[in-house]
Amino acid sequence: MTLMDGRAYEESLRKLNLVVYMFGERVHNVVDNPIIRPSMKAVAATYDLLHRPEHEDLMSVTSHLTGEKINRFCHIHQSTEDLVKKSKMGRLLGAHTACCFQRCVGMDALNALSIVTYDIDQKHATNYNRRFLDYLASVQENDLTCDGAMTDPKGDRGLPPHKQPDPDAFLRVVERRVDGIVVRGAKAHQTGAVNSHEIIVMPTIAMREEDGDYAVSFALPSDTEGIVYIMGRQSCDTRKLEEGTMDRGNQLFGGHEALVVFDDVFVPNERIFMLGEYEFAGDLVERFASYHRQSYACKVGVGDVLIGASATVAEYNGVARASHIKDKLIEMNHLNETLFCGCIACASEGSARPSGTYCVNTLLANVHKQNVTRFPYEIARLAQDIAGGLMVTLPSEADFRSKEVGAWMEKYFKANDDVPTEHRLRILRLIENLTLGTAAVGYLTESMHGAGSPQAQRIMISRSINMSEKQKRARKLAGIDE
Amino acid sequence: MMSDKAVKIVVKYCGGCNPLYDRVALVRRIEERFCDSVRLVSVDEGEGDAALVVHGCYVRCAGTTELSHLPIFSVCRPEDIDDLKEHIQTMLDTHESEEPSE
Repeated sequence: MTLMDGRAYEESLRKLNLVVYMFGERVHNVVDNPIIRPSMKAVAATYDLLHRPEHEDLMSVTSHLTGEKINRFCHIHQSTEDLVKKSKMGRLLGAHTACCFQRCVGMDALNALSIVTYDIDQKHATNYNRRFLDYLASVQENDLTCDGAMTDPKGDRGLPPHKQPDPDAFLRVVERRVDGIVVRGAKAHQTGAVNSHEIIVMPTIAMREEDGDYAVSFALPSDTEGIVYIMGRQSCDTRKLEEGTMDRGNQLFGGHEALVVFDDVFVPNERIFMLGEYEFAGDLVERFASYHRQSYACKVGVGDVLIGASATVAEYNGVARASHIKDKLIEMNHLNETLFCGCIACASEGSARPSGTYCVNTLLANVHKQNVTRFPYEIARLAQDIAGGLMVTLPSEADFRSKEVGAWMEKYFKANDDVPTEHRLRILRLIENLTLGTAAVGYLTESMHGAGSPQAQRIMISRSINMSEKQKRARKLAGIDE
Repeated sequence: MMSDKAVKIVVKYCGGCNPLYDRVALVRRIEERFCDSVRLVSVDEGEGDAALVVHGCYVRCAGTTELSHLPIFSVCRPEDIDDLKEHIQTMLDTHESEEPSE
């Protein structure tokens, strides 16, 4: 059993031969690339914190397969306590990194597949669950990071996969062999893709019989021949190439996303977990989405940092005692803790599926994620309100260090006399990073669209509630005879 | 210099998702107060005479199954440190009185 720390994880990535492109060029050294590296450090934190006694209780757990201690990101939830600790781990890591630490998506894929492979076997007498458990054992044994790849490019949103003008708009099987299949297509918005050892592919929507070739799930090493990664841009990303680090905002961590192309990639039989069982595609999407909507517990931790930064800049600006500032900070905390309520509630109200895996309460997970599509925006608005306009008009670090103009910045950006000007500028850059810089990708737009856009949660909320019971209660209390 | 009669206390923390105080600093204070007579060890470092479970809040969610055979002191707020010191001192006094005389 290997329980890697961050350094060992970094070294393990160096052994991969990923095909990565960014700004039109091949990235040969992915780990040390200055734009990608902060995201690698964020995943590394998921390894390092396990080895710190003050975090080990959340970061580690006992494997139900082997009885050995494993990283929680490789675990299949065996109780509601496991689900609650997953939510708490998300908050912890969000607060530690102030960005997307990327590893939850693989954990959610593993848990969803542990349920659905079992269910498929029950109906079709297939052997997917055994295969999956063998795969899981290997993931746990080697403490791997997995990318959970669900979102297809989707082409024309009004058409099902088999009717798309370009048949590759959804990832599909293009060849069936005795020893496996060949797949073609792509997965978009893949968080942490180039920091992953494995990529776990799942279908992106419910499917019908005609979509059989699209109803496919499998796992592959991330450097399998034919897989190509095209890095997504983030606002302010090239600040990481500049001299000095102050303008990055977050000095330590970051996230990344990529378009992952599968250019006729071979998948051996032992790594296939669904092949043509189209009626289970929707179940897999729903299970994964529920887990992943819970995973937005991480935004509570990022919110902790943004609230802390806002309170700090209020002190630095000399306005910490103003009643409206105090009230705004209370409102930010109210919103943030409301988010925490949701991710704890959906975990506490989780239940066992036939496979034995515990899954979150679907309704509450969707309510939680629906809140996540809104509250971080309001928290960010309040942070910008407290920070003031300097956050977006501040000259660069190079100017601050300049012999010609640096002294003027020092003089005119001084606020609270007890606080060095540089400290004020640094905290403003962190707020900028979180609310409109590279980290806003994760804190805001990913909160909106990650794990499904707002309307997807509203549909699930609508499906999950018992409206007739609510109406019955209302009619009874109104004295309406049925 | 630590006495060879040192009592070993296994320290277990909750995961620290949203602690209301600095848990590590509290343990450091205990370590400093009893530096001559108590050795604090982590769960992985093996057996102890007692366990100290440090929760970051009143939820007290740290798992303690692996410590169930030991006397457990638990804290969940900074104010608990006085009671904790008292418990440890009592344990040390008992430990000392049980030592065979030379």
